[in-house]
Amino acid sequence: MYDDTWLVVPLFNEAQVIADVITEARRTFPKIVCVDDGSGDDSAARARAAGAVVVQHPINLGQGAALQTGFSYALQDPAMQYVVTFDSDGQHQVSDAEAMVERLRQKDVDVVFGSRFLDARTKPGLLKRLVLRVATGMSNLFTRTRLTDAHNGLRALNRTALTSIQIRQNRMAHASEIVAQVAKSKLRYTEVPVHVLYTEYSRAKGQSIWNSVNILTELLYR
Amino acid sequence: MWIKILIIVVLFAVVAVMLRAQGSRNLALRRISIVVFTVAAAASAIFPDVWSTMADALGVGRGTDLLLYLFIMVTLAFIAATYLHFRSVEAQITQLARRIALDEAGFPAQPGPTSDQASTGDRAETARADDLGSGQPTG
Repeated sequence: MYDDTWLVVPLFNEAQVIADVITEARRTFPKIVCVDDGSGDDSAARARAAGAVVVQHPINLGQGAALQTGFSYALQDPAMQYVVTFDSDGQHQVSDAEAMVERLRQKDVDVVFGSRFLDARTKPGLLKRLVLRVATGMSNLFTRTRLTDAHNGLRALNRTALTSIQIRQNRMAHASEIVAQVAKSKLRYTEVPVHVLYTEYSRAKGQSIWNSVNILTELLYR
Repeated sequence: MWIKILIIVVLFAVVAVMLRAQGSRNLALRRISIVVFTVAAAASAIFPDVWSTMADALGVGRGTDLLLYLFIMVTLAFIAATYLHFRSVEAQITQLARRIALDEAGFPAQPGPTSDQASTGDRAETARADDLGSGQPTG
């Protein structure tokens, strides 16, 4: 059913949860590529045991680089029509990913971005909400797009989009870079509501809001 | 007064050149500046008064002040050049590491022509469908 879809999962030190995430996702998506970005724990082995293809960076390069590696890997599969970028920490819902691929199957868009702010399911804290709003505002300004949630890791792209995108921002600014390239390549895009689950685990290790400073700097000094 | 204009002009010129210069031009500029630096250093050793004269002409208080201003500008240029160089090295390492990662992983479905995918990106993609049957060896 989803033989034409690759789930691209950037992986960095998530040994605790990765097996569950992969097992759960594999019930729907048989093709999953985990890009292990030089994890120091046994994340890669656990992902492999759970049934994912694991591509291992010999050194840590950053999430943006991991995504591009996953894209390059998926492009090797001639049967691949769609790619979904999916977080390794269990924040994303498989059902959301499914809905996004179905949206792409309607063929009127090339890219589907997930947004936390289109419905009330996701409940980020007040500070996080504020930071995300600011980041989205900046991203819209820089990339001349109109999105409600620019830094959501859940997105789906079709083959056309994948071939015209080349992520060069190794670290965190890749989210804005993808948006910028989608806009520049005149790809058709839309947003769908997704539910991002802030678990104890993801909250404990998740991106601190300091990252917004890093993202901004990386964008300014391209 | 003149020194302010000079500092600002040199600053922007350096940044503009550093941002645009690539490859052989960049290298040539770097070599030229080394020669200029050497000559200037030698000249100021032989004629130490030259800095004071220049400072007077430019409206700076003393020769040492002029040297300090120059030093700051050169340092900034060095930082900019180093940063850009670092960025390009980083991009190269990324490509290299990606290549290694993809080669190591292989692609079970088709062991053949997959190895020049990552570096050439989208362009390789259009050609790929035709290459599939050829089974060209990768390594």
